[in-house]
Amino acid sequence: MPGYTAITRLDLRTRLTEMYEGVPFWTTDEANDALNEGLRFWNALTGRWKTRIVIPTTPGPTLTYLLPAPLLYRARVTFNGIPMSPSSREDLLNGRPRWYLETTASGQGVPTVPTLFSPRSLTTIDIWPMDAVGGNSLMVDGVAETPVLLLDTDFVDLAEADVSNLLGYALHCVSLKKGGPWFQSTMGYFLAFLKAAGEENDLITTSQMYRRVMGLDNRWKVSALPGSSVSQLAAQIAKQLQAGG
Amino acid sequence: MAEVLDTDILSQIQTVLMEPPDGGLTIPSGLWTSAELVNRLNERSNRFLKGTRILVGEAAPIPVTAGQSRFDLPQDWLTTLTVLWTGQDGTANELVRVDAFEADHGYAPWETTRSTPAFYMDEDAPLLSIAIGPIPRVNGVLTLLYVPQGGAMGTSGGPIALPELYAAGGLKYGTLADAFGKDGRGANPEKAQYCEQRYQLDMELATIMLNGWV
Repeated sequence: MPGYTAITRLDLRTRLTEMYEGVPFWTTDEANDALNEGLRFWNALTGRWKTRIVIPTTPGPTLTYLLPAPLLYRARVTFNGIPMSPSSREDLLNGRPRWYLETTASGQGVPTVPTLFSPRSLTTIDIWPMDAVGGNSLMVDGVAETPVLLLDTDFVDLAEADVSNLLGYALHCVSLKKGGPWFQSTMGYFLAFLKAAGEENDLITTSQMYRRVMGLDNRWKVSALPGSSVSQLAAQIAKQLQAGG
Repeated sequence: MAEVLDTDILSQIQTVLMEPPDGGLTIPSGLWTSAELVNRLNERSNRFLKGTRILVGEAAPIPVTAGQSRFDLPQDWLTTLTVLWTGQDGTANELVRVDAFEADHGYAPWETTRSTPAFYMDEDAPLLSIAIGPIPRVNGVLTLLYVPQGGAMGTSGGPIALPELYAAGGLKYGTLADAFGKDGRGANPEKAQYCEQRYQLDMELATIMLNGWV
C-alpha cells in the first residue's frame, strides 16, 4: 500500500459508513461537513498543507505586509532569497524602540536590507528595517488553506494512517448530536486524532488543554462533572493509548 | 477554495441541536431561537478574537495636540495591544499600559506636568477612550494596534469572522457550549462541557501557533 493516496470524498464517506454497523444516523451533508471539519482541524493542528507566496515590497516605505493566505507557525520568510530571522513586536520594541520608523536607508547601524520579520497577526507580518526602495521580493513559506472537499469526486492526498484518523474524527463529530454511549464510544477516535497530531507537531503538546483532554493532566479528572462518563472514559482511553505507545 | 459562511456554521450547529439545518433561520423545537444562536455565535467569535489576538487592527493615526491626554478608541475596539508615541520633537517610544493607581503613585504630576508620554490607560478611562501620560509637551501622533471586533455574522450567508481553520472550534463548539449550557429544556451539561473544552482547546492552539511562529 502506498504511503500517500489520493482519496475522494465519496470514498471517505463510504469508509465512514463502514465504521458503523447499522443504518447511519447521519445524513450525507453531515458526513461531508464532518470530513471537512476534520481536514481543517488537522491543518490547524499540524499545518499539513503548505504553500509559498512571493510578495513584492512596496516603496513608501511599508512596515506591514498582508499575507494572501492564512499562515501559521514556523513560517519561513526570505528577502530576495536571503532568509530573515523571526522576531516579535515586543522584542523589537524592547531592544530597538524606534524600529518601526527605520528603513534600509536610515544608516546609524540599521542594516541595508530587511533582516527580521515579526508576525503582527495570523495574516500579517512586519519587517525590519522597512525596504526604502521597494520592488524587491518577500517570499513566505507557510501553511495554506485547507483543501476542503466540495464534490464527491474531489480528492485529498493523505497517508493511510491519516485517513483512519480523519474517519475516526468524522465519526466522533457526527456522533455528538446523538450523545450518550454512541458519542462516548467515539471518544477514543478523537483522542487518537489528537495524539497523531501531537506526534506530527509537538508544539501543540505544550497546550494545557491538549494535555488535559489527552489525560496527561490530572486536573482534567478533577474538573470533570461528578460521574461524567464521557470524561472518565476519555481518561481511561488516554491511559490505554499511552500504555500502548 | 470554498469560503466558510455563517449560515454553514449555523446549519452545523442546528444539526447537533437536532434541528433541521436551514442556515439558522428557524428553530422548530422552540428550545432556542434563531436570534439567540446568532448572538452566541458573534459573542463567541469576539471572545475568540480577544483571547487569541490572531487578528490585529491598526487604527488611523491619532493626532495629538500638546497638553491633550484623552483620545477616542475605534468603535470596533476589543482590547489594546500596543500604543506608540511619535512626537514632533523626534521622540518615539512605546507607551506602557498602567492603571490609575500605578500612574498616580509612579508619577503623580502626570496630568499637570508636560513631558514625553510614557504610559497609557484604557481601563481607567471612560469607555472607548484612552488616556496617556505624562501629558505631551509637543504635538505628535499615536499609533494604536488593537484587536478589533469581528464582522457581524447572521443568517444571510456572510463570511465568518474567524480564519477558516478555527470555524469549528471557535464558532461551532463555542456556540454549542452556550446552547447546551442554557438553563432550560435543551440543557445538556455533559455536551456543554465537551463543547466548551473544544472551544478552549482551539483558543489555546491558535495562541500557541501564533506565538510558536517566533
